[in-house]
Amino acid sequence: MNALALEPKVISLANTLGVSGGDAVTAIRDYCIKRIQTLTRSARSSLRTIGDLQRVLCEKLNLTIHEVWSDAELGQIVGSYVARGEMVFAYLQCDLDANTYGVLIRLNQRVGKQYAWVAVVDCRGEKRHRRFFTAWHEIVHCITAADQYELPFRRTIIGRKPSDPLERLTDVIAGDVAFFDPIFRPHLDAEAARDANLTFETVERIRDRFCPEASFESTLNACVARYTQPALFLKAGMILKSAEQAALDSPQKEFFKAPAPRPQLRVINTIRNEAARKIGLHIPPHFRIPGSSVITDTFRAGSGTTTHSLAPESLATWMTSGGKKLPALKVNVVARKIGEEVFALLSTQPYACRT
Amino acid sequence: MATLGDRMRECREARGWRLEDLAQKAGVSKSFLSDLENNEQKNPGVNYLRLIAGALGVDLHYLTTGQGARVTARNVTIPASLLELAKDEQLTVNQTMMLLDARRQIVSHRSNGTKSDDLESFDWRPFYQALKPYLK
Repeated sequence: MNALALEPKVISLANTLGVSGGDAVTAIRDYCIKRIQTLTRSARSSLRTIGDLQRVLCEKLNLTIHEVWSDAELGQIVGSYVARGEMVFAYLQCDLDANTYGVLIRLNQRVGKQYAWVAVVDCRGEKRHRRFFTAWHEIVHCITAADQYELPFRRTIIGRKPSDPLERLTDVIAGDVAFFDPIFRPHLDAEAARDANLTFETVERIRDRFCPEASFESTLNACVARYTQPALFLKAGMILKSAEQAALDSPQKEFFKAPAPRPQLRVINTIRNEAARKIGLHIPPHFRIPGSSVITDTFRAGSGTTTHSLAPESLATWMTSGGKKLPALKVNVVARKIGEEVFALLSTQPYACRT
Repeated sequence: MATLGDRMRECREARGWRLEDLAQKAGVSKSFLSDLENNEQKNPGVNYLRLIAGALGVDLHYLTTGQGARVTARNVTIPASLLELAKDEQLTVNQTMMLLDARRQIVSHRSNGTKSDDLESFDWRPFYQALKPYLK
């Protein structure tokens, strides 16, 4: 059970949805998947792509998703809804600021007894890269909120901070249902069997077949999570040690000014699958990447370039400044530089260790 | 046409309460309630009406306008920041409730971590400015 499952807001949502007991995150995710299955039951035979699933779900949930690609397009959407008496849309131009990717709005107008919803997904500029995930994030909100809104006294589950556990939970579930298993897994199985392993090329082909609008990173996460062999996706970049970062962020200042800490190539975050968990394949965030790792070689390959390397290595060479080592697992590493970060896939392989 | 006073009396009598009962539950004076019911109090403050609606268990919007759902199972809580704006801009109860209801229509945001959706800390002024032309 992860920390998110122990958050009071997450437990409260599980209670509200009537799925309390056990791991709240798993229970809510299962609830969402079950609800999706129920909502799409009548259309199951026609669900071939994730786009089909999204279309059917939107229809059943009375949800309209608008992708906004220009200011003019946003103006048109605002004008059209305000003219229908939905004055909250007048705020949309202000609401969709540089940091906001999408908004979910409940309309005053109902369809029968059910509420109608509108999700506005901002695709202007760089935000376009997140449009697939943003749309699914709002769909998950709609799935969990729809039931709560039928109960007037539970209408206030809207005030939440960005670090709010319910937002994190929604991201977790969206990451799952956006790659709806019955549609996604056949692509993964077919492509992974072709390469006999999970590589970046595998992920790219899966993305092309499954949904080209999905980001590479979200597809990679989905592939790792569902891959049957132990796999871990790692993102590395030049960052500080967590203690150094905390000291820098702290309002408490040193009396004698200490030299500023230097960022080093460290783990930013990781995602591992169940099989990796079982064999103890785990690398904590902020862990320093050893100079001997192919991840470091890849990072040095040059700013802005994308390289692809392959080498087996032992995690025993990964060591903290305090001398603590990772378990001596032999892993195959595939690394690629994307911008100023390195994406790396770690998986267990039978061939000999380099060290 | 039914007035605010008519609706108040109707809701109170439906509960079998005397004016004293409502005054006690809402924490306002009996004479004030009497004035309201007899339409002799023309400009009651939103805070008082909120207390009365809460005690009667009816929607404030219904109590003041006669529109929308009458009985609710929720307590309407107007954020202090919105009350502040309502006072500054001399908004009517109806306009204040329209703003609150409109804001509640925004169910979620997906942002990179810089936006707070908490109603208490929400910046109501730009919201009000955007919706001002449409407030009745």
